[in-house]
Amino acid sequence: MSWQLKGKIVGACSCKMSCRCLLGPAEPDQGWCSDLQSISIEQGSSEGVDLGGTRAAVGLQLPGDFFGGVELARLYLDESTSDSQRTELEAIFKGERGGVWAGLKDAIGRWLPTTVTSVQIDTGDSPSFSVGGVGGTTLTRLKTSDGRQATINNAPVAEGFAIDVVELAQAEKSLWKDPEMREWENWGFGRVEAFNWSG
Amino acid sequence: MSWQINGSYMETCNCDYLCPCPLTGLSTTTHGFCLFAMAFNVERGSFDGLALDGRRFIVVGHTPGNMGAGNWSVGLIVDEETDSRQQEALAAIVSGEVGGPMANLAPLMGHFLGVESQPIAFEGSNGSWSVKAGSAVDQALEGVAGLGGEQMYLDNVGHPVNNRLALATAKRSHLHAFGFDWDQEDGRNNGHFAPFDWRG
Repeated sequence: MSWQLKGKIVGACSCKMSCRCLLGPAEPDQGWCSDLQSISIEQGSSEGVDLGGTRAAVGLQLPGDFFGGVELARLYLDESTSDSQRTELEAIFKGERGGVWAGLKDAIGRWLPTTVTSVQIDTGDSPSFSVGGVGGTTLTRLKTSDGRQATINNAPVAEGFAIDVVELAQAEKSLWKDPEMREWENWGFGRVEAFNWSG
Repeated sequence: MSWQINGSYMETCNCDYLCPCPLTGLSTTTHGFCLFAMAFNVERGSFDGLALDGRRFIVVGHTPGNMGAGNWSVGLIVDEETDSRQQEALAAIVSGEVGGPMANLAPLMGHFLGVESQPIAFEGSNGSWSVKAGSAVDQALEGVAGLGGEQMYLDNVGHPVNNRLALATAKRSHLHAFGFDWDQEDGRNNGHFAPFDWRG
């Protein structure tokens, strides 16, 4: 069976502006990396289950940069997610349905149990996201004086997630706490990315 | 009075790749100060009827802190075939006094150190570019590609040269002019390249 997800990611990591991992093998600002990407699924389906309108987030904890692999990951699903949607989203993000997340499967050491909580995402001109009990931030899009969005194109780490264009933003500093993961602060780097995944 | 110049640009600076200036509105450096050499190869150009085709020039400079804090010291190196009228025209363009993209940076330029003439070789294609100006400047860079081998770009970051900047790391940066002494060959520092099309 096939699946398809289309939507936008709003994310922040522990780096200052700009995330160095995005540019290739590079030492993150803290020496390690923590990243949280909220995923607003505008359209999608898997195994006949409609996934349009669902909201998820993926938290990643890395010992070094993205090229060194991920030691811990957790999927957060909004509390409005139905049981059948949860089954499909867990299978997709854990790489069991093929596609881009299957390609990342071997790079992720361990998935913590999925957390169901409030996941709120705004992908618009003032992007923001919050994951209940973990944290949240608001982003300011980086734009030219005449309003054109700053982007980085063909960045290696983004390509690993099948994303060609990263819209750059400054994230408001905030603290992120998941009881089973490293506590971290995002130091300024934020991003918005359109995705169109399938498998 | 109107002018326009277009052609190729390449630059290296002393920041570690990726120089944070374009992404932070000139508010951050990686070493607390900036040294830079921005080289231009004018393919077509004119200034109030004066032809600038084929001219080559390099804007070199130092900023004591973040670029956005101002107090830049800037010098201009022109190719040795540039005559005095062309030299004046290029100095006016670079200083921002005749408008164009450099006008936005004019308030940051605290000290103009003058104009020096050198033989300038500007070479390259695709992702590899180098510039040599006598004993004053010798720099080279290599574009950085993504996983699929495509050149990486920044778009719309407010850089004066172009809305689209190719990302690169420097292979070497040597600057010995106007009292600047900078030698770096560790491959860590930043570079950019792009076509440019300026007018005012």
